[in-house]
Order: sequence, then structure tokens, then C-alpha cells
Amino acid sequence: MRTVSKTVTKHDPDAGARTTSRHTKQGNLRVALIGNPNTGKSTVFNHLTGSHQHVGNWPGKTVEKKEGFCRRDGAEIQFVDLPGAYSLTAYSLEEVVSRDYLLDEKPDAIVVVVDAANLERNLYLVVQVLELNVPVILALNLFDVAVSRGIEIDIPALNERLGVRAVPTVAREGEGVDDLLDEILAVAHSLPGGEHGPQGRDFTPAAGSFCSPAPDFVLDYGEEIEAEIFPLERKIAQYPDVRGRFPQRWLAVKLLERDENVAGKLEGVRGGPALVAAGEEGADRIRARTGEDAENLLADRRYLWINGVVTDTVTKTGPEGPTLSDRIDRIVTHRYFGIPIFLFVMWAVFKLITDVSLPFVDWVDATVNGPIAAWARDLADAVGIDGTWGESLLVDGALAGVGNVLVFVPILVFLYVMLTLLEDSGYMARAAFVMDRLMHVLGLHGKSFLPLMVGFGCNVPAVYATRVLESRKDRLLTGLLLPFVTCAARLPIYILLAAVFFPRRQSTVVFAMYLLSILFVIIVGIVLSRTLFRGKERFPFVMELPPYRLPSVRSVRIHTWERTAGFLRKAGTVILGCSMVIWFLLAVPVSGEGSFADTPIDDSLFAGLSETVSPVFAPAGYNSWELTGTLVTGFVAKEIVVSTMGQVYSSAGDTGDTADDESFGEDLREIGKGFAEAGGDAILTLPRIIGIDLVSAEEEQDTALEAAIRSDFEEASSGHGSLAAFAFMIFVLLYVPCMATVAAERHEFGTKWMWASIAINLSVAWTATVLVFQVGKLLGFS
Amino acid sequence: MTLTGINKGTVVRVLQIRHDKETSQRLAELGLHLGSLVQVLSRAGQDPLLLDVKGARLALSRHLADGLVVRALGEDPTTQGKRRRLRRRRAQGA
Repeated sequence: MRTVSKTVTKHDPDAGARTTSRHTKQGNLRVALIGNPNTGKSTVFNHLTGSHQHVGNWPGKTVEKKEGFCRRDGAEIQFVDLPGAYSLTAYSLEEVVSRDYLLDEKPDAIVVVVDAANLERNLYLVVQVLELNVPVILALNLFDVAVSRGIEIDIPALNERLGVRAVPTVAREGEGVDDLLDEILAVAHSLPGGEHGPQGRDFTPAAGSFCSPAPDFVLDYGEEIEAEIFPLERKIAQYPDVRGRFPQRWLAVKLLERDENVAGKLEGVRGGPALVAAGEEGADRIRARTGEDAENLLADRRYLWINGVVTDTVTKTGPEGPTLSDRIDRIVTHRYFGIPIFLFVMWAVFKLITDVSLPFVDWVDATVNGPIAAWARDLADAVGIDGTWGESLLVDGALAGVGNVLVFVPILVFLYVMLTLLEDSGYMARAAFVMDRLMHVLGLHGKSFLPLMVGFGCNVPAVYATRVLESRKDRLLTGLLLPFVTCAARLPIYILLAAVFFPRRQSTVVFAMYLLSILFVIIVGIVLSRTLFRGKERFPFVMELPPYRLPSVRSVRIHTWERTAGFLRKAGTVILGCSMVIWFLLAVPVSGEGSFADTPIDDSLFAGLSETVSPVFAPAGYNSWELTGTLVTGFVAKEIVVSTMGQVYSSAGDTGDTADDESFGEDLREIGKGFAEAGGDAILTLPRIIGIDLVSAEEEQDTALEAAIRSDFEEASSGHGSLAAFAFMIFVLLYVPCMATVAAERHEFGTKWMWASIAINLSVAWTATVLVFQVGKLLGFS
Repeated sequence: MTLTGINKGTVVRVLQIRHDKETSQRLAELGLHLGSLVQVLSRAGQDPLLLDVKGARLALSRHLADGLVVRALGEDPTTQGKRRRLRRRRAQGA
């Protein structure tokens, strides 16, 4: 017996440490939540843990890990929310994470959240969890929906058949959550170790320490398969290294299924390869005997068994036929109405995110650069660094960086509210259904349309919107295409340059930029899906369309807060860092008489570097240091490109301090007033969404700036100013959108893919503009 | 006969799955396995098929439906009858 425990430690060096650390706190329980998508698992988790949550990633994985805890009866219960999955086959990263957690971490109890109105399909996952021989508590969620459909579940009978404890819950209302906690504690206390909580358990009953609260779960797979399981189990028992790591019967079944993940784990374990070979032989024999693949037959037998359980425990008395969801679907997924409805919804979402959040963005901007900047200067004054580089670092470096982070918060809040509404209501699945055929051409999933659409407003929330996609490949490909979607911040640059060089065709040129953006998304999409992502063929389209549901305020609030906070933590630091670097480049004088942090932009390191880089753009016709410098600041944020042009093209660039001397109280009142006005403006933009314009925008004209820009382009391109400007606009369209997008990409896809994205954007942008300029010159454009 | 050729409203039984292992297991976890009963709810143009599988709604691409050999069990009598009954009941209530 002791040898078994030792082998566990040997193959999993952390297991021992984990077990001891678990005992440092008395009555500290670990409980995992698992369930099919759309069963309300997250809602159950939120109710169990309240605000005590922590969102991170699984170590070394890009899968989100949600943890939380609650205290009850003096015990602390720690919850892990495992990724939603339909089964434990371990094909997707999410399933691997869930299965490894259940196998290696051996939680004290597992809550499987199931849709009570759809028990049969949900039991498929339950059965797979039960086969791991872990104590299971069943949360029969959406119980109210089941009742309203006339579905009756004989809970005691279900408990007996499955060897679990089932609790009816309505997580949206928080009903049944207390009972669920009671059951969790009851199950945990029935484990060996009694009142003091669980002990480290082993899968081998012979090890003595393992004992499930229910008799070991055994599903009868029928004669042909059982005839193969039994010898396999005996063979497994011969290898102690294997025996201690996996439940024996479960392993035998997985070997017959030729599970690649399990085979990988057995590699290098004594007896492992022999077992994998034995499993394959068994599967071959089953195929020879029945004419069916073992895995298909196993699935069939599981459902057959489940069907028996459902027949005995569930009675349906309500009316059948189309539900309300079905009737809505007849319109929403209609062959002809489907796409118009979808486009309308997307357009409304897009307008809400951009137009409604804009006044708040302006308010954040004005608050940071107005009163808060003034306070920072007062603070600098008070500590005696007034007028030194210290003040500049504080105000122009750090504070400006914070401002660059905070302006995205209103946009992201609106995005996340809309995303949660779309997902929780069930519409997102329909959108994917409707768009699937069109997006298929790009090698993308139907749902990819949403992030791309959001990208026209701002690329940063769009990167986060890729989370609606289930597979990492789809998320990555969409993420790499996003920077080619022209965001709202690029528009002023097009407008300015089009006004200077194409005054009579201004709107046509701007519109052409949008068409080019779509064209490049399509081209790059087709190229990437046929090259970099070839072979990683997305899973052929099959998905569940969950019934429509009313989203809850609580869920919207929690999701929005969680994700916005994630942006501030992860992307915020990168943006702040980049802002500081740019400040430093602008602060260091390389020529002229300026001192550190007090130098004209032409004499700064920034200008020097731009000068060095600019020859790269000679073949594209815009190789002056001013234009290159503009592109560099454009990497920080496209919003400041136009203002940088104003700076580099005016020698009298000193604007002076404009901050008024106001008292702290007045400032606070101003901030409050500004926020109220932003709210008012946001409401005013709502009618505009349906085409009524209550706020008219004014365009500023600066003829001196326009003349300076024109002469610089003409000079740099030696007489092909308009063509060079057009090429410059295309470069602005195609190159790295901004450091916030880059930070978001790093946050979502990792550093490697962030660099890949930057490389793709820069190379495509450079190649495209050089082609445009050179071919244009040959064709005789000026 | 494969699932692609089945008319709207028809209930079928899956007899054979002509897909690789991964696809078969994916379909199984969503309720499409050997012997399962499926009703075709809609099939429009080249769009994915909309199915009723164990009470859940599944969208299935034509490519996947092509790999499912099925036998038609006839139109689900309950759907038609229930719908009529439902309409009658609603008319009475109003």
C-alpha cells in the first residue's frame, strides 16, 4: 500500500506538497465546478463565491482560471470554476485543463451543473465525471424552466441511480445555492478525516485512504466491451506506476477509446506503452466483432444507459411542440431575414460602443489633462520640483500614460455590457449560425464577425471581443486580422490628408480607405488561413443554440467589472511603459540648446531617431523625419497623429500652461459636472443611432498646417505629393494600430503572437505602400 | 441515406457515423451518436441544418450532416398535432 502512495509522489512531485499545504488550514475544502456551456455554471459560481473571486490563467495555458471562496460553518470552501465543456474527451485545451485538474488535483468534491430541462444530454458529461470516481454533487440548475415545461425529476431515484446528491437550483435567483453548500459540506465531511476535512486521496481502493461517499460508479457497457475492459483492468493492476495515477476502470475505457492525451501521459511510465498497445488491440477486436469503432460504440452505450436512467426518473407532462425560442428562431435564423437582422444588431452594438462611450472618453481625457494635471503641477510645486524634469516626468510622462490607459475604460465598459447581453440572451449563437457561410471564406468562424465589427470603432475592445470564439485558432486568426480594420481614431488622419491633397474628392478618398480596410482583412485572412493556419482546420461547424434567456443585471455587472479590471491590470502596465518611453525620447536633447525635458521637438532624440529610420520610407515617398515621427507617435495612439503634425510643422510650438488656478473644491465640482454632461451627451447620441443628429460637429481649419504638410510631402516624394500622401494614408491604415492594441494582444494571445502581429502589420503596410507609390509613379500619378 | 437529404419535420435514427474519431466524439457529446433520434427542424439553402437532438437545438453544417447515415422514421406526429392543439387552446383562452 505504501508503495502506491510513494509512486504518486514520484510521478507528481507537487502532489505531496499540495496535500500538506491543504492541511495547514483546518476544514479547508477544495471544490471544482464543471458543466456544459449554457447551463448557468458561472451564475452558480458567482452566487457561491460572491465578490471573493480571482480571475487568472491556468499555469502555462491561455485558458482562463476562475477561483473563489466562501466561508460556511467555520470552514473555508475554495471553488475552482472549470471551463465549460460538453465532455471530458480532452480534444480542446479547455477539456484538457478540466480533466487534468480532476485527475491530478483530486478536489474534495465536484459540483456538476446541469440543465434540468435538458437532463439527458447533460448526463453525458456527468457520467464521464462519475467514471473518474470522484464525489459528485449535481446542481439541477434552471429548475424553474424544467418545471414550467412540465418536466418532473424524481430526485431520490436519480441520486440512487447515479450515486450522487442532486440539488435543484435556480441560480439566477440564487435559489438552492444554500442547499448546494450544505450538500458540499455533507459530502466533504463524509470523507475520511471526518470533521477535520479531507485527506489526500488515492484512486486505488486498496490504498485504504480512498473512499467515495457513494459506491464506486460502474456503467455497464455491454458484453462485447466489458469483455475487453476486464482484462485491461487486470493488466493495469500489474503496473503500480500506472495504477496509482488513474482510476483503473476509467483508464481501461480510455485505452479502448484510444485517447491520445492518455497515451501521451503513459509514455515513459513503466508499463504505459504496453497498456496503450493492449488498448488498441482491444479496440480492434471490438471493431472486428461488431463492425463499429470502439469509441462510437462506447458513446452509444453511455447514452443507452443514460436513457434508462432518464426513463426511470424523469416524467414529462407539459405540452411539446415549438417553444417561444423556436418561434423566435424561425425569424432570427430565417434564410432571408437572418442576415439583415444580424447586420442591424451588429450596427446597433457598434454605434452604442462608439457613440455612447465617446462623451465619457472625452470626459476622462479632460479630467486627467485638466484638473488632475493641475493638481499634479501643484504637487510638484509643493515638493519643490516645479519647472524641473521631475515635473515633466510626473505630468507629461506618468500622468499622460495613465490618461492613455483610462480613456479606454468607458469604451470597454460599454463593449462588455453589450457582449454579455448578446451572449447571455443566446443571440450570439444565432449570429454565428447566420454568418457562418460568409465568414467561412476567410477560414473564420461566424462569430468572428463581431470582433471585426467592433474593430471599426476601436481595435482594443475588439481584441477582447475575440473571447466569444471557442477555439484558440479562431481567436488568434481573428486577432491577427483586427489591426487591418480601420478604427475611428484613424479617420481624422484620412480627413486631414484628403482635405489637403484631394479637396474635391475628399469623401471618396476617405471611403476608399474603408473599402481598402475590408479588402485587406479578406486578403490577409485568406492568406493566413491557407498558410500559417493551414492544417489547423477549424472544427466543422456544429454548435448548440441555447434557448433565449433574459440576461441578469448581476451577470452583466460581474462580467463587465471582471474584464475591465483585467484590462487595467494587464494592458495598463504596457501602455504606461510605452508612454514613458516616448516621453523619454522627447525629453532627451541631441542637438540645439535645450536641456533634458525642456527641448523643442526638432532637437530631441525622438527627431534624431525618426531621421535615422526615415530612409526606410524613401521608396514609398514619405521619408521626412517629420512624417516618420508622426508615424512613431501614431504607434502610441492614432488620436495624437494630427496633433503631432501640428507640433512638428510649427516652430512656435510653445503652447504654455493653460491650466486655470482653481481651488480643489471647484475642480471637483467641474469633474462632477463634466461627468453629468457626458451622461447627457451619451443620451443625446442615442437618437443619432437611428439617424437623427442632435449634435453637430465642427471641423477646425488650419491653412498654415495644411500648407506645411503639402510642401513636406511634395519635397519628400520629389514632386509626387498626392501619391505619397495616399500611400501614407494606406500606411496609417495598415500598420500597427496603437500600443493599447498591442498590449491587449499580448494580454490575450501572449508575447509571441503580439510580435507576430506587429511583424505582419509592418511588412504588409510597407510592401503595400511601396507598391502603391512605385506603380502609381509609373502610371503617371502625381 | 444521409441526414442532408432529409426533409424538414422528419424524425430519423442515426445508423452510421462516417467521420473521424475526433468528429464522432464531438458529435456524441452533443447527443448525435449511433442510434440517436434526431428531428430536422429547418434546412435552408446551404445554411447549416437546424436539428432537435434530445430536446436541444443543434446547428450542424452540411458537411457534417453528409457523414451521418440515417433512416427516416416519418414525420413526428406529435409536433403537428400538438401545434394544432396548442393553437386551439390559445383560441379558447382568448
